[in-house]
Amino acid sequence: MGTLQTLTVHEIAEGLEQKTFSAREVLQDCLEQSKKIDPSLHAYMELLEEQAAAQAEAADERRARKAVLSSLDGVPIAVKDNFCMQDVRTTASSRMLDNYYPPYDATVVRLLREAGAVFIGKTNMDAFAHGSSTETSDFFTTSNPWDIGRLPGGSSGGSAAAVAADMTIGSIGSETAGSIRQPASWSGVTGLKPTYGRVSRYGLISMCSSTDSPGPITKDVRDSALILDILAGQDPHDSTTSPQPKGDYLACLGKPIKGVKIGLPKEYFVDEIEAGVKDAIMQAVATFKKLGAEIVEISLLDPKYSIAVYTIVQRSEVSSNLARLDGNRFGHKRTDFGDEAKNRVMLGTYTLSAGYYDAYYKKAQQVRTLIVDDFNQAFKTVDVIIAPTSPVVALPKGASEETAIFGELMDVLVEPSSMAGLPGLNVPCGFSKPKNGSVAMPVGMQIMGPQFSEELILQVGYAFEQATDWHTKKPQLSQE
Amino acid sequence: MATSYVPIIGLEIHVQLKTQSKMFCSCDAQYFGDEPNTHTCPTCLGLPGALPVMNQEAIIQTIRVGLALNCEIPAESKFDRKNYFYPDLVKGYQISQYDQPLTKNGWLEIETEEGRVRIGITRAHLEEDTAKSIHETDPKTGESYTLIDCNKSGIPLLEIVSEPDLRSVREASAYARKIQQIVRYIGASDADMEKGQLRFDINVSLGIIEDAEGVEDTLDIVKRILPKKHTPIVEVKNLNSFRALEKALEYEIKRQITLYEETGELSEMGNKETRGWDYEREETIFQRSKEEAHDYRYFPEPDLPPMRFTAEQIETWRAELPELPEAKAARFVKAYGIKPEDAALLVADRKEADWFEQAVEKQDKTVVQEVAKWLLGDVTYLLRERETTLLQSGLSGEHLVELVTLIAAGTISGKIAKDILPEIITGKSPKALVTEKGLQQVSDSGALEAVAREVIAENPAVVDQIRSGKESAIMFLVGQMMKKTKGQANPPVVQEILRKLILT
Repeated sequence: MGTLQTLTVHEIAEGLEQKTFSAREVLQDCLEQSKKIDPSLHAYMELLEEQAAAQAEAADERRARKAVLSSLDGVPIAVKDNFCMQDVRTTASSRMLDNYYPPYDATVVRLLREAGAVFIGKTNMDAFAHGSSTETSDFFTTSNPWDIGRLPGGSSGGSAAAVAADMTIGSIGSETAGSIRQPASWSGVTGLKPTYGRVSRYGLISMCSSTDSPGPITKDVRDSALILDILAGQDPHDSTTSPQPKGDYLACLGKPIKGVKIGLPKEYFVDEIEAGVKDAIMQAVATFKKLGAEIVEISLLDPKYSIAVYTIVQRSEVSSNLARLDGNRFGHKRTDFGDEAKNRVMLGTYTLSAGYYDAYYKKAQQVRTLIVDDFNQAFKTVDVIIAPTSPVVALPKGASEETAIFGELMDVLVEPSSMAGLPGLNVPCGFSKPKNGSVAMPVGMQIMGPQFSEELILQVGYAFEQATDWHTKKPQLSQE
Repeated sequence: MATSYVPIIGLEIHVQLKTQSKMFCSCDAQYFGDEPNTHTCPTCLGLPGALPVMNQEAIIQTIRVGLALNCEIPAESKFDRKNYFYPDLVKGYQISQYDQPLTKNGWLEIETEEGRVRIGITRAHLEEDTAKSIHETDPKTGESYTLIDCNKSGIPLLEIVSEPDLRSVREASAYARKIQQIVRYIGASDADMEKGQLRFDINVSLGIIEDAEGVEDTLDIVKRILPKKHTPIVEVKNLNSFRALEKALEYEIKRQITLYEETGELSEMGNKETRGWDYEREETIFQRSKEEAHDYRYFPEPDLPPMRFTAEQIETWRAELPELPEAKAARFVKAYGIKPEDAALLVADRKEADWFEQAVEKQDKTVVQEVAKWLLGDVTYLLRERETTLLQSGLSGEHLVELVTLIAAGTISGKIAKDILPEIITGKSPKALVTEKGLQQVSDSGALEAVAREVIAENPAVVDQIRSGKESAIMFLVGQMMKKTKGQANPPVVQEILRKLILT
């Protein structure tokens, strides 16, 4: 069996360029790995073997004709199952859409297609992205490649696990509040949640329209930069995308970070944070100091306020966004919604009801403004902010069932920046052995910046990655 | 003590805007008569993941209507989601406007029995139309089912909400017709009822006026002040013709009088009711009471950014509005000396008014007045008879002016003009027709004298009457002469010749 699946996007691009191997060979290795490993991980909703083969072949032909489309041409990419892909089953891991074949491509899918990416498969997620574990997928739970008794995080858990287990070269996730960064953290990979409005939501099955942000999950920072370069930009189909020109996400990599002011918010290092997580972050702080960055202790609004704000705003929008699955179309009755979706619809319906709107939704939006202002204030004194991505390392399976708002608690450290629409990058920064676990699990650090500061956070993340080797660690995978 | 009632009526008028594409997607908005579900895309089908994009043209049209209705145009506006379930609402919510409509606080004046009255316009806001439900029954099994046609889904829909300022069926009808005329005038909509482009919801209750308060309340009617007491408000939804609007109001007013006299129930919190209109039986039917009313759970549409307008933009749109019918009619009265009621008829349709103005450009007032008279009289009558319209007919303004000029010059008589009008409206030139058919009026007294002598010889008794002082009898002889000349004789000339031959 080959080992091409272990390479990064930029390594594959280079190998294809130098004709060291073909796109077909790369796909072959990824498929083999997937068939071997996925039965115990369940990262994929579906492997798109046949069409991926055709896409890889077309990529090889283009290369032979010297008509390469982009650095992603011929590179296998897994796509979260909430992105519509024309004529490919797109379920958002929900029973409600278990037989839904969209007649159109999401803009993210279209851009990747036009860039020549090979769609190796659709990945599992919490149904409709409602969760942080993949345990609320209406089909099956994905396992964490580092310990299959544990969760990969979510909602983009399948995309994160597929990358961590080398079942694809890169993947696409979507984040509403943590759904890229948190699974990337728990699965030990890199995940970039761009500024809200940087990447089009068109064709992404809406969860919380005012925060949903598509982004890459990859093996290193350069790969995330490469994929963001393809995805970023204004989309005439999505009025909430920004007209702001996209950055040069590759040129910023390798620039020194000497003098960059890094904020360390004390509210993000409270007692609830696992000791092993805190230690790893403090080690990262030491690394940044060595690189010449200036560490500044700052104070931000207690992230707990964001839980309330986020829960109300997101439930409200969910209750409306899911209304189109009204039982008349798509082949399922409304009673077929999973419990999590039903809970969210009920809560959101309540918070939007006459007489409650002002007390909940309106109030939440007002507090949201305060959160935005709070970050704006902070970014007057620092360039970026770092914090743990998750207060804990990956939890055992079943953990989400014990807590009603499990997702919100797991995402407490990413919710404030999500509500503010800020970009955030998760990079692996160490390992910590959980109390009841046998394997040390990955710890993730998030780097947050002001709106549209993707270049800066990628630069900082890349500098950290170059000074450490956490991102090169691979899980011990076993066939079940 | 006798009780009298005054209807209190408010109208919600839905107007489909005339735009190239739908409100939130690029599907072709001209769907009438096309195969079901052929003007659709992921957005107007409400497919998962699809997003709306605002149609700028519809927004500008809405603002133009608002300006024509004397509305304020706030600098900021936004869309909201109105959440409810209905099979023809594909997203489970309608994108509409809640607390920041594009236009608000306007008015429109109508003529009433009490004189000219200003009807308040609460707001005119923009939303999307729903799909169309088609209810059918399988003839074999008797099973009924509903089909959905999404061609109409997402058509830009303007909702114009009036204050409860209308006080009679006639006023409501006049107001509705005026709205139709204005939206057509400014090109915002064809407002064609047959195509469902104009629909009404009415809110109606009865003000209760006791005898003792009669005088004061009559004044209140003029000022459109709400009577202190009124019956519960009833909303009748989805009326799609002026006839239905009028019939439904008449029915409701009668029904509410009977109901009030039986129960004495007055309007209070929570006793509003919604009724539908049965087109066949011409009756309103109970649908739901306020307790069962929808809570639409409005919230700002997160998929669309708020809209902002500069004062310059608004002023530009205001300046670009065409002359509205009332202003045009007033100008016609002043410039051409046309009677106000005729001017109102002439401006009813903007294109026909333009036709008229082009026709009479550079003509004398007298010619203009004659053209107007012909246009509103014989021409209109003939067009109606032929079931056609002015613009569809071949009548050119130039020809109508020509006809009027030929009469004025004495070349043809009015009678000849009427005779040849059917050919003129098919596009023939009056001059050419007159020449071709030899219809010139005969004013040559030599030629006419010969005919006059004939007529005098044939009617000795009438001639005697005239000579004995009954001069009016001369008209009989004139008629005879017209007959003999096939209408081509010039009547005043004929009369003069006869008078000369008989009396001198």
